[in-house]
Amino acid sequence: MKTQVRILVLLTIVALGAGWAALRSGNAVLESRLASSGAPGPGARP
Amino acid sequence: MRAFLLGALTGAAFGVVLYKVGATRYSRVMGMLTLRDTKIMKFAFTAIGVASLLYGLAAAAGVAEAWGVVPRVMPYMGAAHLLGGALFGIGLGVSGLCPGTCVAKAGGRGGSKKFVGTAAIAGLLAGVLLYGVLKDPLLQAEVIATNQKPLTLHGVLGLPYAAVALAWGALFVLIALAVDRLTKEKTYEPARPRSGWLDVVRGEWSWVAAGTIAGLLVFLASAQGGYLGFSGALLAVTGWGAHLLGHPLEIVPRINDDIVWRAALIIGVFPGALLAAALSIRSRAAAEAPVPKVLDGAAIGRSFGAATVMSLGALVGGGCTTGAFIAAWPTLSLGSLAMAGTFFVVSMAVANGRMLARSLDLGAAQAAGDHVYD
Repeated sequence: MKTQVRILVLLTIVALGAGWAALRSGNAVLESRLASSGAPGPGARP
Repeated sequence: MRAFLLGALTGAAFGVVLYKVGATRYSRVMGMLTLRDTKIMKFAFTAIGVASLLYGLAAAAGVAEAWGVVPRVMPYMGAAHLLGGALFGIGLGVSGLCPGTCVAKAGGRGGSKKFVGTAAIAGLLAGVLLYGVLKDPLLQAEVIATNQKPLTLHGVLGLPYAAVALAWGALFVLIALAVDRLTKEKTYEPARPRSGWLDVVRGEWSWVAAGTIAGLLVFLASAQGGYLGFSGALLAVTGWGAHLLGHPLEIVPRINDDIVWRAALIIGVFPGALLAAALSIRSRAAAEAPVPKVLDGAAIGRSFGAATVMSLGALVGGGCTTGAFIAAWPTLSLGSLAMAGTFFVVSMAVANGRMLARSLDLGAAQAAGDHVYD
C-alpha cells in the first residue's frame, strides 16, 4: 500500500513537470469543447 | 459491432474496478457518506486526479485533438442540477447505490437479500421511462435550461485548460492522501493471508490501485470517442432496447455508434463484476460463517424505488457518480460541479439523518457485509 502511494505521488510529480515543460513550449490546447453528436437529451451526458 | 465491443470491454473493466474496490458495497458507500470509512472517497478522488493529469498532459503536449481526448463538457443546466441532484442524492443516501454500482452489484451477486440487484436495474429503467414523460414539462417550466452553455472552471478563470487540469489533478491526489491520513478505512480480513501477486489481484483492491485504473479508463473512454457515464448509458440501453422492440422512444430517436457504445458500456459492467466476484478471495467471515440469501419484499421495493428516483435524478441533473463526478470533474464543467456537489450534500444529509433516526446502523451493516460481501 505504501509503495502504491509513493508511485502515485511520483507519477503526479512527473506529470506536473512534463505538463509544465509542455506548456512552456506553447503547445497547449486552450479550450475543451462541447460534444454534439448523439446526445440523447438535455438531461443526459453529452 | 466495433462500437459495441469497445463499449462492453470498457464497461467490463470498470465493473471489475467497482467490484474490487468495494464501491458496490452498502457498508462502504454508507461509510463514505457518514465519513466513517472513506475508502470509496479516496478511490474517487484518485480517479479524478489521474484522469485530470492525463487530460492536462495531452492538452499541454498539443496531442489532445489528434488522440481524441479533448474532454467533453456537460453544459450548465441551471435549476436542473439542484432538482436532479436532490433526487439522485435521496436515492444514493437510501440505497448506497448509483446506476453503475446497481449493475455491478447485480453482476457480483452482492448483498444478503435476493433479487435486490435485479429490482434496482428494473428501477433504473423505470426512471428512464419516467424521464421520457417528464422531460418536456421540465423544459417548458424552464427547470431544465433550454439555453445550455458549456461553462467551465478554466473558462471562468480565463486560463488554459491544460494548466488548470494539471493543478486540479494534483490537488485531488493531495486531497486523497490527506483524507487517507486523517480518516479511517474499514478493513475486511480475507479468508487466508495473501501471498504473491495473484492473491493481491484476487483480494479487495486498494483505493490507490483502483483509483488509478479508473482514471485511466475515463481517459481511454474519451480516446474511443465515448464517455464513461452511466446515466447517458441508461438512456442509450433503454432507447436501443425500445428500438429493437419496434417502439422507438422520443428521447432516443435514432441509434448510431455512439448510442451503441454507451449501451454496451453499462451492459459490460455486469459480466465484469460477475467475473471479478467469481475470481475473488472471500472474507474470513464469509468463508467461516456464510449467510444464505433471503427473500425480503421490503428490501426489493426499497431498492426499486431508490433506483427509480436516482435514475430520474441523474437524467434531469445531467449525470451520476461516474458521469457527473469521476469522469466529469476532470473536464472542469461547472454543471457537473453543481450536480455532484448537490447530490453529495443531499446524500450525506440523508445518510447521517438515517443514522440519527437509527434506521442506519453502520456497525451492523459492516458486520453483516463482512459475511456476504454486501
